[in-house]
Amino acid sequence: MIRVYSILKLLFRGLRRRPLGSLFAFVAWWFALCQLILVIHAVNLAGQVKEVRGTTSTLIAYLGPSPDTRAVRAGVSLMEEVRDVVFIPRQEGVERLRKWMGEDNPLVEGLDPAVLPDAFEITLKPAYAGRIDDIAGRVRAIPGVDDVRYDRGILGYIADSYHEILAAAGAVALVVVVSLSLVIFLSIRVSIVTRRQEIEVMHSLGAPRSFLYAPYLTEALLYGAGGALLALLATEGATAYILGRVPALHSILKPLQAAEMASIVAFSVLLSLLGAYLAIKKSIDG
Amino acid sequence: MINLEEVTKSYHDNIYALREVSLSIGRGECCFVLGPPGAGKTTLLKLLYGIEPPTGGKVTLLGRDVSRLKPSNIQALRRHMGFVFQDYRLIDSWTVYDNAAVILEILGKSPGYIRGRVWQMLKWVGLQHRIYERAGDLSGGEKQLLAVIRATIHDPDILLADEPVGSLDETTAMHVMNMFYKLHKKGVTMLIASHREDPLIDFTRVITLDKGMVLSR
Repeated sequence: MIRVYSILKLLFRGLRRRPLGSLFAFVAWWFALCQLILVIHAVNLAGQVKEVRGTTSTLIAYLGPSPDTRAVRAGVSLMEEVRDVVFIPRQEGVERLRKWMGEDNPLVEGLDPAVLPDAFEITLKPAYAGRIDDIAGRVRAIPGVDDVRYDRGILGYIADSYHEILAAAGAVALVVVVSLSLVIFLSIRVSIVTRRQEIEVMHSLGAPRSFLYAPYLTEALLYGAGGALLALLATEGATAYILGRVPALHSILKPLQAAEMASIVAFSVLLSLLGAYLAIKKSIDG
Repeated sequence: MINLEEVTKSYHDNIYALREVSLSIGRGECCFVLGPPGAGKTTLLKLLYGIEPPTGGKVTLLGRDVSRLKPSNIQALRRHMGFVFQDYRLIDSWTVYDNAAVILEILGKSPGYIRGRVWQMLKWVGLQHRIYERAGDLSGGEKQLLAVIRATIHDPDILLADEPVGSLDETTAMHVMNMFYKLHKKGVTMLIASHREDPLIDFTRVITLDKGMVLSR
């Protein structure tokens, strides 16, 4: 039976031999896991944002050529979700465009207002802001309305980019996993190389594999579990701080669930043990 | 306890380190393997310790055919044995204490037992005053004594020693041989390889090797 005391003694002897190397490996592990957790948060956030509909409550309904503005206004005003309808003649539209693009922008310089359509600015009642897609469709169906535009803001863009964010997160996660594996593999490999004499002597004295492997697997376990716990502490602490400062984010930014945290720790430990095992197999058995 | 049946060991086909060596060593017996450098003494010990497999023949140790054992079983067998290597094979960066204690830690002995046993053994050979010094800082003679302690501290069934006094001065060599004598009196089976005849005192049996063949048993 191998005594924990002996394993810890060998482990700390190894850590003492290369304290900076061990520290760097631990910090690298912690840092990479922080990135992985942030990626998980980004995916979660994009998923939450997808559920938040109509992030703004203003629509612009562009009118077709020779519209019956009265009939359109009446049709829009009849909708119970609408709070306000303001007619924007093409001249004002050009002014708004100039303001938005800059007075000296060559694209709007000397622009003939006739090329732009008249429009209605429709403001929804706040209670109906979440149904903006549906309302926009109904406004578009009113005769005389050519097009309806609305800006969902940054959250709208995030929601639209959910799949792209997911793909990017997958790529980042893959890079992080490969980096983590390399960190642990190289760290344990260096540890073994610096202690080759010890390993050879212990092997020649009849030390079983478990005795030779145990200090390195324990070292990897410390990196895996310690790095994961510290990374969770840092990212969840930051999340709590941000939520405390910006309560409006509560609907989209959620702290990780206990099961998610446990999965991250388990994943980190398994990855570190796997990396260490491969390094040991390559360096001791190979 | 140790049995060799027509054991041959060759390297690169035609270079023979051992040729059809047959030997039988009983429990508690102490043998001195004599021979000039290149006679095959070290090869014989390596075969017995499972470091190298024989090219032909059968090596039986504690009732087991060494050449047929799996690596894990060879390791288990080694834990019942002690080996004093010609080059000591100490861990230079470790202390004298840690070098002496390592086999007891491999065997899973308690920290209390290890402390007591290491102290007892170091005191026995007079190395107790250097207990916390690095093994790499010891003199050649002290390293040899430490290597003997490490090989015997766990009361092995079989002790193999490869040129244990080859590089020692007369006084230290006598000290080491006295240690072996005491172990022999305790009933440890021993096989000691040497190219020198002078430390041959009170040992029961001499096996002479030359060019890989046994000249006398």
